[in-house]
Amino acid sequence: MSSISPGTPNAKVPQIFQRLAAQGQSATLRRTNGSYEFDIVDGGQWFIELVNGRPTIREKIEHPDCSVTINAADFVDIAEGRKNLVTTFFQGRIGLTGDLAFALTFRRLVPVAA
Amino acid sequence: MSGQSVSILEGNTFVVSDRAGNVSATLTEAEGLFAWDTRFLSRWVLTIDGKVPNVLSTDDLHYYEVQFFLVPGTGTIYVDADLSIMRKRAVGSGFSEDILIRNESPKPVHLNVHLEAAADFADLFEVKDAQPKKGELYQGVRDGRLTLGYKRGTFNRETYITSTAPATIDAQGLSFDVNIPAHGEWSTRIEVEISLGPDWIPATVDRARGGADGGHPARGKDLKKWLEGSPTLHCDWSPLNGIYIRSLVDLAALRFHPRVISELGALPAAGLPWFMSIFGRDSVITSLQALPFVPDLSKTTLRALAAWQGTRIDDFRDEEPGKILHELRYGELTAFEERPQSPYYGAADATPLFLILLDEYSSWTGDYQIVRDLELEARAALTWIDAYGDHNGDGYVDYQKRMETGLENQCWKDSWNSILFADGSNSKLPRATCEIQGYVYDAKVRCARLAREIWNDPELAVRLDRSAAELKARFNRDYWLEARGCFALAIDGDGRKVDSMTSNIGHLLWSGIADEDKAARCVEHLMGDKLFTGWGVRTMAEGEGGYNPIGYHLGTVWPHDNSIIAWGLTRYGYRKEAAKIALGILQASVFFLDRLPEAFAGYPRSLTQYPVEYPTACSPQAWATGAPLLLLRALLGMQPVGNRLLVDAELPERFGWLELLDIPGAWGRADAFGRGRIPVDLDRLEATLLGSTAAPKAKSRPVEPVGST
Repeated sequence: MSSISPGTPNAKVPQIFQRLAAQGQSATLRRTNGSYEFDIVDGGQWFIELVNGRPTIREKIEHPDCSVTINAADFVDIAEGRKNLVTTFFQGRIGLTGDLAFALTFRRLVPVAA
Repeated sequence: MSGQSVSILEGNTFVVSDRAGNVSATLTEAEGLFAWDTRFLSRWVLTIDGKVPNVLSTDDLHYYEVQFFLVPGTGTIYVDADLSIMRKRAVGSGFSEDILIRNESPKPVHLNVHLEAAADFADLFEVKDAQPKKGELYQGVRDGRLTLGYKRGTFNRETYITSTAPATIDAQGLSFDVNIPAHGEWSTRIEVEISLGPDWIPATVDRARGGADGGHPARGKDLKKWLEGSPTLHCDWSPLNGIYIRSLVDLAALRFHPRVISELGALPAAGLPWFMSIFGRDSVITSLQALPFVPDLSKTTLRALAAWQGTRIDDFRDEEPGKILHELRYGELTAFEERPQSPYYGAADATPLFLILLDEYSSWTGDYQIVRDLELEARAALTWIDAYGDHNGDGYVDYQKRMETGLENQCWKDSWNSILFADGSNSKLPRATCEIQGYVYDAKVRCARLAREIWNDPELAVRLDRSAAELKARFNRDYWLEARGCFALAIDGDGRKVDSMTSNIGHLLWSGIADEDKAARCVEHLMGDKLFTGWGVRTMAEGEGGYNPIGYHLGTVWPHDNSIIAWGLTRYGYRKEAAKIALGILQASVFFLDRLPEAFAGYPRSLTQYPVEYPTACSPQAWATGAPLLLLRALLGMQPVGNRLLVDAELPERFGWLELLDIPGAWGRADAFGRGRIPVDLDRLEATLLGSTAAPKAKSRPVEPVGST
């Protein structure tokens, strides 16, 4: 990871997950529980557990409800509100196994366009 | 939809073919195999020795299964055909087709059987609007199967075709070199599968259960369970029994379980072929119509729409916090944001309708947990009404698209020219149509009750009651057209009253926003010759500048519209008028083989004798399918009162005796009975066609129509 320059998409990935974990409960997901695995190309593997709409970063989740494969640039664009999660998925830019409906709830954890 | 086409469907997958089972689509024709808003097969033609066989008959076995009986053309009536060809097709995630050829002659035959296959992968919007493709089509044979594909960047859709019988496969289709002994037969099963890319697992049915036959028992069982769980209807007017079953079966066919919602249940898709997707308005209205019969549809609809409620300002999608979606699509144009349906929120009425359904569902079923679960969403919807719904600050919920790709009209009459002045000129945006104000009024009244009784928020209840009362007073002042004796269709962006007389005034009765004296004058119009055709109420009155009996919202008759009007008439005590509308629509249904279309032409009944088809109407269409159900509710005067079902039947005389048994609700199961007593003078020469009250009035039955709880 030493070749990553600050400000590049893959450098932003950890910040985004930290920010996500710090933002607390999403009211619209208050009855939603589940877990995500994000395999971000050149951005690492991340596990998020959602408990009553509150995201927490985990070291490892054995059987996540959904596993998402995405490149770092797309992930950062979605997380920062420049890209729409739903249309990015429909375009085939996101790989997904598991619960699609749950995966798409991620749009409610990130701002604006997602 | 052409009357010569045959459709089968399952979820949002459907196949439309001609009566021989062939598909010969052009860009603008809705023939083919469609799934997820994409056409996966646009050509599918069976030939025997290079010729297309002739049709003997076509049988719709179930909504998901059809069979075609064909014979080769002999060229003359003096020569009997000596081959019988049967195609049996069942739709699931793709479709399976069993082809059986019988040699009826005493001599062996050698045949070249060919299935031509091609796919244009058109987005449904491209089919509808005749747009060209931007990506690359490809075909080839891989792993012994014909692969038809389309790629645009990372967007990839493929169709796979295989056969159980040995075939020569090339990019154009499958060929079979067939020898059939005397009085022998040959058969094959063709599987057509679809792929939306490696990460979309196509929905379930056929592969897992072994093709057409394998999928059949599960779906048959599911349909049987659906019908058995619904109330049982017996009516002396025999057509109604068929209409009722047809409505339930079509509603079953339109059930839809998109993978983008977590709910286990199904919600109604809007209609075949253009609208096999989630629509806020259509799903809510269909759920309302079907509530006394299949209440679970409402529950799924509420939860699905809540899950996709707007959370942000998004001009492209006309999204605002708290707003309920209009439409969700999955096709290429949506994926590349050339269309905004991901989802699109351009409906000004879906949000109050969502609130109305929440209250109606909980009242009917006694399920108040959902009211507690969706309190936040309901409050967000109420906030949307007051904070975002009114764009010009005049106190009325209105609409105005924010991008060119948005909808011009965001009410149920959503064609571009539906909101016209009486002189035929178009009104200006933003438009505040009258029925939306009625829905808002009703939503606030209902939510006041929920706030008081469920959310334990008496302050909100008082505020909503006050706001509703104030809205009603203002509305009756601002929208009333004294010279015309009806409410304006809308108030437009210039603050002018849009003065066409339309069916929208009937919705005002349903919502209860109309003052009693004004309601009475509206009823005169609704039942007068200008609006009432003899089959139903026109969308726009004859004589208006924009009137056109075959204009989409300018004079056609919409069954769902009429069911809502009949419900409204019942609310205000106009039972004879409700009975007249109900009988007219139900009689029209007989002419459409018990399946009401989305809309039909608004010609006077006295002129045409038969209801005239509207050319591009969807069928089956969800809220047309639900119309007979809501009409039944209105005629029986069914209303939940606490844990009891109140029944106050007022039926057309022609119905004779009617009983609806095992109605589900907060009371468990209850029965409703009624006897036709209202003379309705509608039909004359059609009497023989429309059926008479065949069964004698049973002396052993109760004399008075009574409700049961």
